[in-house]
Amino acid sequence: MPLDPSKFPKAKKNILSREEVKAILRGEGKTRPAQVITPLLFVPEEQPERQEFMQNLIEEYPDDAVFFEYTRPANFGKPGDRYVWCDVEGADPMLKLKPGATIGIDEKTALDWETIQKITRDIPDPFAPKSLVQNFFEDDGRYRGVFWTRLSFERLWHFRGMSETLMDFYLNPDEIKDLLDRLKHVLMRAIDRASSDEYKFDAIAFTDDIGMQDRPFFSEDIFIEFLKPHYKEVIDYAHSKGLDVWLHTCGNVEPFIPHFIEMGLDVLHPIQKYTMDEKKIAELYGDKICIWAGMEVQRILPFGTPEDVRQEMRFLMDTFYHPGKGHAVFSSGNRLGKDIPNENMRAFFEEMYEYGEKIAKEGRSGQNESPATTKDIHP
Amino acid sequence: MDQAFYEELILSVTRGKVKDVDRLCREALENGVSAFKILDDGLLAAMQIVAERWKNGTVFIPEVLIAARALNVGLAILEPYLVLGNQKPKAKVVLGTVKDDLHDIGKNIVGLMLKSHGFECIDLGVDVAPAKFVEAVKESGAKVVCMSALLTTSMIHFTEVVQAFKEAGLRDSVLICVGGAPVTATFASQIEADIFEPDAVTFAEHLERRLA
Ligand code: B12
Repeated sequence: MPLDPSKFPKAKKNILSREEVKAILRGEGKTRPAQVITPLLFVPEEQPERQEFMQNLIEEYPDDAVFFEYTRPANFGKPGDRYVWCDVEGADPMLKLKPGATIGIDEKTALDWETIQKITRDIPDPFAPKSLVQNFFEDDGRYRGVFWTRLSFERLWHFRGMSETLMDFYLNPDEIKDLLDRLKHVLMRAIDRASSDEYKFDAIAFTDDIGMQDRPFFSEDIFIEFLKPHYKEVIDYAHSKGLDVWLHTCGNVEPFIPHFIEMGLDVLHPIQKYTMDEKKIAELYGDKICIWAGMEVQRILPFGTPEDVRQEMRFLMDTFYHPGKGHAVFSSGNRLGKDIPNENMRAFFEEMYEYGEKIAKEGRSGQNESPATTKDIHP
Repeated sequence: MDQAFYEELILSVTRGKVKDVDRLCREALENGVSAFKILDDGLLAAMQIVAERWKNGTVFIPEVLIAARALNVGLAILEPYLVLGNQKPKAKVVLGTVKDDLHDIGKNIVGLMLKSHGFECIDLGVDVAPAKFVEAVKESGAKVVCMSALLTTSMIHFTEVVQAFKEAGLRDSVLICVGGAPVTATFASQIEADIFEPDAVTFAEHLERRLA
């Protein structure tokens, strides 16, 4: 399907085609860098006070690659349900809640291993819902994929609670491996459907936050023992079905990057600022994996000036994008929250396009530095 | 008990071996060792090692959590024997994640580190409204309030808590401590917090010095 510009009547930019984006991912990109924000990071409905502003902005600056959020299975259901994470009768902790009590997101919703063993092994079934994805629209010539959240660690703690999962690596290693094994099945069926003639997607994107501000959640040994085999099987399977694999993981994940590369992960998001040294990562790994660079949302986007935002974008592009090769696409590091002023939001989109055009045409003229190197940006 | 005993107890805590900790603590008590000595030279010495490794970046969350769990098992056994003689209990601390914020891993680690330094922690959980912090201080007589925030959109609630303490006339009788990934020293001083530290271990040490 060739790209049809008439589909983007308000766009202030030319849109990249599927082939152009693919070339960027492979390190053979001849165009400007692609904008890939996705509906997971940009949620106008979440900000009713400026929903219109946000919607206009995204129509002026549409993504160059489209991701559709997956249709989320319900957490709990009853025996026989096909699109739920847990079909064990009465397992939902909310049912046992006393009136007036509130429930946290972590340990209190965690399931014990006994309940987990009882869950039907092949649910949720990604072929069960009418549509695999939300807000689907037909191919318009852009690169397309499904965004399926929670690859491994995040899905483990969806079941077990975060603290429990972290301890389970030591205390219940076999149960953890078995749970990952079940979850593999779901992911493979999702890949089957995403790559089928029904969707013909180019990619599947996952989230799996395994980094914290100053270090990863767990050691490299734990990653190698538990998560790496799971990641690898999923990545290999996606590749066998012709899908690229994109991964979002917050925080410092430096020790894991060589493993991501070894496993053949195609795209990595966001190299979170203040948790890793972007230049070092670009130097060491920039030619081995496509970086989905995400502008930082803890300080620069909410509390910098519009000029700081522009300068940070120039810094990111100079650091990660190789004119004539590509190997980088751009977005925010996490959800664009309501604490980001309108001017900064606009500066972010404009500069992403304008500076991208400039370096694609003229090549890079040196390295812009981050505004954070000369001033302390904070609330 | 000899050196080898404490080495074994320490190792059992750092490796999270709950059953061994249980057995060793009972054994020592039966042999007439004071609960305070088992606590100081065994359980807390082990947590010190974990804290040191955390600071050096050689351990991660799982190792801290399994050690803390083992520590708690030991503490439960020793508790009945920890009658306070000339040992003064350290300050009570009220701890919580601020309103609109559900992140609790960091807060829990802060709680563990404070506990392993002998502080008594009153954990209010997550999404804690300003009035609840004040109420807890009134009820417990705590001298320290610790707030955690992981979101730039929730850390503004620190200010409201500070304000709530002012309004209750309690601002000068509590030390207000703040932390969490997006919090910086500049921000902490802007909102007139008393203590900020970027990590839990440094914080527990800081608080101990401050209250010494
Ligand atoms: C795990 C996590 C989650 C989990 C939380 C699970 C749980 N039980 O806590 C889940 C998935 C639920 C989650 C949800 C969200 N998250 Co979140 N999350 C994280 C993540 C990956 C790690 C946080 C963590 O646990 N760190 C580990 C602990 C040990 O570190 P820590 O909390 O910083 O604590 C240490 C120190 O700061 C200090 N400390 C902590 N508290 C205190 C208190 C005092 C007094 C002191 C002295 C010290 C201190 O001691 C600790 C140990 O040394 C961070 C990434 C990051 N870079 O931090 C994002 C992050 C915090 N999340 C983020 C976002 C955006 C969200 C969501 C809005 C996402 C969404 N799209 O819905 C929601 C918000 C939910 C809500 N209302 O709170 C953003 C925040 C951005 C911003 N603008 O501020 C971050 C920074 C990710 C990013 N890269 O942008 N998240």
